[in-house]
Amino acid sequence: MAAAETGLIAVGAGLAIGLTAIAAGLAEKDIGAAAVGAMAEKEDLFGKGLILTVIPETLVIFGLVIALQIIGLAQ
Amino acid sequence: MSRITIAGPKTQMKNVIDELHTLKIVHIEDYQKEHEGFDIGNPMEKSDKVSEVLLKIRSMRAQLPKGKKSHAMQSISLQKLEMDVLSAIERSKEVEQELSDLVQEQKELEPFAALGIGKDATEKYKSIKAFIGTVRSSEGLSQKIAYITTKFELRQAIDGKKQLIALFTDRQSTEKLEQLLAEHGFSELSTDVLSERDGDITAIMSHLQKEINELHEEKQKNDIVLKELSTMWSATLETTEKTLKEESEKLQAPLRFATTKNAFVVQGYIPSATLENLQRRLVKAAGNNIYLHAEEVAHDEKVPTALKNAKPVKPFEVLLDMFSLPSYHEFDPTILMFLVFPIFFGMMLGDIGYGLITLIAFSFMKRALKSKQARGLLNILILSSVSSIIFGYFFGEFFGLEHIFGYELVPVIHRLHDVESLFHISVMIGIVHLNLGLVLGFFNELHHHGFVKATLEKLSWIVMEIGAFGYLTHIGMLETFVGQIFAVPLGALASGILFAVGAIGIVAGEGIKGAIELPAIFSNTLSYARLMAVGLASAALAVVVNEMAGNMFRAGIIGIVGGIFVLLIGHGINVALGVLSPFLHSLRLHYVEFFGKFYHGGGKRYVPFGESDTDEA
Repeated sequence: MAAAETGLIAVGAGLAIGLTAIAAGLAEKDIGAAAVGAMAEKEDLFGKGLILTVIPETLVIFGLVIALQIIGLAQ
Repeated sequence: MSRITIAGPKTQMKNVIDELHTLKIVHIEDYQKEHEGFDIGNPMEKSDKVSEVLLKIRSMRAQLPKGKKSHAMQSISLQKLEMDVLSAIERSKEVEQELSDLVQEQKELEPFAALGIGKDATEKYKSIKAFIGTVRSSEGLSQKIAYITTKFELRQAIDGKKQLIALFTDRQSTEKLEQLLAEHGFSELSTDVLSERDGDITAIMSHLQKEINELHEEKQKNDIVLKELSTMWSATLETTEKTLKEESEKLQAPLRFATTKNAFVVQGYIPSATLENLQRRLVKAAGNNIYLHAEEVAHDEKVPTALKNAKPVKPFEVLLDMFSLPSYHEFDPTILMFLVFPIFFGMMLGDIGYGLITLIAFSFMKRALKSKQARGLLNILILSSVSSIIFGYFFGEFFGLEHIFGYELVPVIHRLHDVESLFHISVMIGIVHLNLGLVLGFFNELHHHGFVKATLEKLSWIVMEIGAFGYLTHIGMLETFVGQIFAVPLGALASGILFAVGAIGIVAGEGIKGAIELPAIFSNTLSYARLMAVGLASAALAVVVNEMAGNMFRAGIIGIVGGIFVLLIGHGINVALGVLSPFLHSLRLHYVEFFGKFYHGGGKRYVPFGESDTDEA
C-alpha cells in the first residue's frame, strides 16, 4: 500500500478523533460551568450535575468508532 | 403504603407527637392551608427556649477545635459552660488579632531597621530633604549623586529582594535628585509607621520581637485550654445537641398539622404492614380519644417511596438517590444496577493490578469516611474493583503487562489487538441491555395503561429491531462471530414489513415525539461502544507508560530512578482516571440509555417523623 495512502488514512483517523474531541469539549464546557454553579448553591446536585456534564461524551465515542473503521481500511 | 389521617383533641396532641416520634414510621404530609377553618398549628411552649439553647450549643461546637472525645457525658450548667468556652474563644481571638497586628508592624519596620533609620527621619527639617525608599538598582548611585551635590548622606541596604536607600541631602538639589532617582526606579516608602514608637530603631525591633514571642506563648496556652475544653465537653455537646434537636422537632411538629381551636389533624403515609402497630400504640398513648383512618393509595397519587432491597444490593440505592428516586408505582431498578453496573465498570477498568489497588484503597477509605452516602459509594466501588480484577484476568492485563512477575497471563480477549471483536461485544451488550429496558418498560406500562398502549409504546421498538436485523442479515453484515447471535433469517421483504410495522407502532403510541426518537435507538446502541473505547484508552495508556519506563531503565542509574518515577506517576494517573471514567460512563449508560427506556423517576423520599440523618435505614 502506498505510503501516501496510509498517511492520508492516518490523517483521516486523527481528524475524526480530534475534531469530535474538540466538539465534546466545547459542548461540555458550558454544561460543566453551569453544573458547578448549581452545586455551589446546592450540594445534592453533584450526581445529576456530573452526569449531565458527561452526556456529550457520545460525540467522542462516535469519533473513535469511525477512526477505528478508517484505520481498518489501512489493513 | 397506606394513606392515614389521625385526628384528636389538642389535649392529646403532645402524647400523639411523642408516640409518633418514637415509632418512626409516619411520613407526614405538611398541611398547606388548603381547607377553610383549619389553620397551621402553633409550636408548643418551650420551643423558643429550646431553639435558643440549641443555637448556643451549635455555635460552641463549631468554634471548639476538633479533638478526641475521651470523656463521656457530664453534667454542667449551661451558663457555666457557655462562660468558660466563650471566654476562652474570645481570649484566643484577641490574642490572634494582636499577634497579627504586631507581626504586620514588624514587617513594615524591617526596611527601616535595615537602613538604621529611626523616628528622627520623619521629622520635618528646614534644610534637609530625605528620600527613603526602594530603587531598582543602586549601582553607581553614589557617584551620580556626587555630581549633583556634595552635601549628602546615602545609606544603602538590602531587604530580601529589594534595594533600599536612604538619601539625606540639602533642599536645593531636590529637583535634580528626584530626576536621578526616577531614572533608577525610585519608589518612596511611607514613613508613617515610624512615628508610632519612640526610641532607637534597633531597640524598638527587639522590643517588638519580645512582645511577639510573648504573644506566641500565650496563643499556645490558649490553644491548649481550648483543646482541653474540647476533649472534655465534645461528647456532652454532641449528645445534647442531638437530644435537643429531637426535642425541637417534636415541639415544632404542630406547624405541620392542620388545627382548629380545640382539635388537630395529621395526614401522612405509613407502610401498610405497620398499620396495626400504629393503631395499638396510639390507643395506648392517648386512649380512645384518637381517630385513625387508613385507606389504600390511589392509582396516580404522589406517594413517598421507600426502597427495600437485600443487604448486598442496598449500597446501590445511593446511585438512585443521586439521580431520581423511582416513583411509588413503578419498578425499582436497584437490583438491575447491582447486577450490571459492576460488569460495565470491570469491562472498562479491566486490569488486575489497578483492580487490586482500588480494592485496597477503597477498603481503607471505608474506615475513614462515615457518612451513609460515602459508605454506599465505597461498597459499590469495592464490588466493582473485584469485577475489574476478574475482567483483568480475562483481558490478561496486570498494570498493562501481560504477565504477573513471570506468571504468563493468557488473555481471552486482547484489548489492544482484538478491538473489532470487543466493539461487537460492547454493541451486543448494549442491544441486550436496551431491550431489557424496553421489556421492563412494557411491564410498567402494562400495569398502568393497559396492553394496547404498552405494546404500541414498547414492543414496537422490538419489532422494528427485528426488522432491522433481518435486513442486516440479508445484506450480509451480521456474519461475524457476535453478529450471528442476532442474525434473523428473514428475507428483505419480510424485514422491511416488520420494520415499517414497528415504526408505525411507535408513532401511533408516542406521537410525533416517537417519530423523532426513531434514530435514537441507533445512537443509544452505539453509545455502548464506550465499554470498548474507555477500556482501550486505559489499556493503551498503561502500555505506553510501561514502554517509556522500560526505555528509561536501560539508561543507567539515573534512568532507573527516572523510570520508577514515570511508572508511579503514569500508573497513578491511570488509576485515578480509571476509577472516575468507568464509574461515570457506567452510570451514564444506566441513567441515560437504560433508564430512558422505562424509568419515570421523580419519587419523593420516605422520611418518617422521628428519623434523624444518622440513622441507618
